[in-house]
Amino acid sequence: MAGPLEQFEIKTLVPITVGTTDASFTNASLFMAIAVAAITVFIVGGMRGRALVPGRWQSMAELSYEFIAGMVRDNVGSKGRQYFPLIFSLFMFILFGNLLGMIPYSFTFTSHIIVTFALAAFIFVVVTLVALAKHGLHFFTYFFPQGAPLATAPLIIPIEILSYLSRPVSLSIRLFANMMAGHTMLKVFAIFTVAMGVFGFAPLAVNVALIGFEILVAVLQAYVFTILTCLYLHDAIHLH
Amino acid sequence: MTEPRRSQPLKELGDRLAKARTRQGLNGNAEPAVGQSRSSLGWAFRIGVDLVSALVVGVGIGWFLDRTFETSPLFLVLFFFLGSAAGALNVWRLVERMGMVSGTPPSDPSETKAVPGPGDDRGSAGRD
Repeated sequence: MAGPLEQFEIKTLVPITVGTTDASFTNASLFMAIAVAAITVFIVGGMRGRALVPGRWQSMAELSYEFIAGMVRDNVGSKGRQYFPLIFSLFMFILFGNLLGMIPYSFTFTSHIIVTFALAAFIFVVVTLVALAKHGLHFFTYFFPQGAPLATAPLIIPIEILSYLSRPVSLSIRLFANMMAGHTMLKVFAIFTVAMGVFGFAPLAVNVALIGFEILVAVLQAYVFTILTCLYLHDAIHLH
Repeated sequence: MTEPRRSQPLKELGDRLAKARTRQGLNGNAEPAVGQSRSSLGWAFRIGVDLVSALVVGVGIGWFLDRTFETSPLFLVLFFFLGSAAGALNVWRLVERMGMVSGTPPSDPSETKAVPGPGDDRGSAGRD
């Protein structure tokens, strides 16, 4: 029987080597490509009709658009509307990554910290660049609160910088830990179901409940990741 | 034949859309407040991750500086404490945003608000 952690194994599908770097097309790459294709089909296909009164599919596409548009408006403010494409792509990519992982025999690429960290580090760089572009060198006053005595600067500034640097770490750990813990738990209970024979119905019932819970967590974590990105953008645009 | 009949409701719809847009702040520069609300367990998980992540970053930087300058364990110790402080700062900011800090008036109404904002009133049902 496969162990609970074997589902996270990266398998090379098409070996590619660039120089000395292993850039193979793996099952993680495959599911990222599937996620992007699915999002494209979902949005483009849904909006193909452009009906004034939307059908079910178009409603779903519009709903996801309006949900993120509302989130950006409420959390970043009206100046944040130009970042909507970024936020929307981010949300849909994570959401589809999480939800695709709920399909049996599929692979959850968001359960790998390197994937979530790459996303979070990208967000971190973008947010910092936005802040630098909007405020120039004034951005660095962010690391020293107004009104604090100047003598405390050698202590406060490193702490504030560390707090700022911890953002991508906490952002990536939150998503990865939730996805990995959930999928491991599902597998553990699935193993119990097989191992307990006739009495396997008890862990099976737990698993049914867990699957529902995992779908909730999948949507929620995509939401949390996106809303924190919005809050960081808000900080970058408004400083303090 | 149908053109004049359709244009009148469409014009009304356009007016209604314009009104709705203004109400939603799409045309104006209104800055709605930032609000967050979550279940206690969700908050607990978030606080835990925020506390640890700053420590991880601090210790990582300290370890790296020590390895580069061969000053072990000077920077590791220094950045351990700075990282802990940064973690505590993260937690303080979160708790402040929750409105659970007594005695301090919210400095920036758009930053510290415990009232749930629109579109963010769903609980996290445990993990977050």
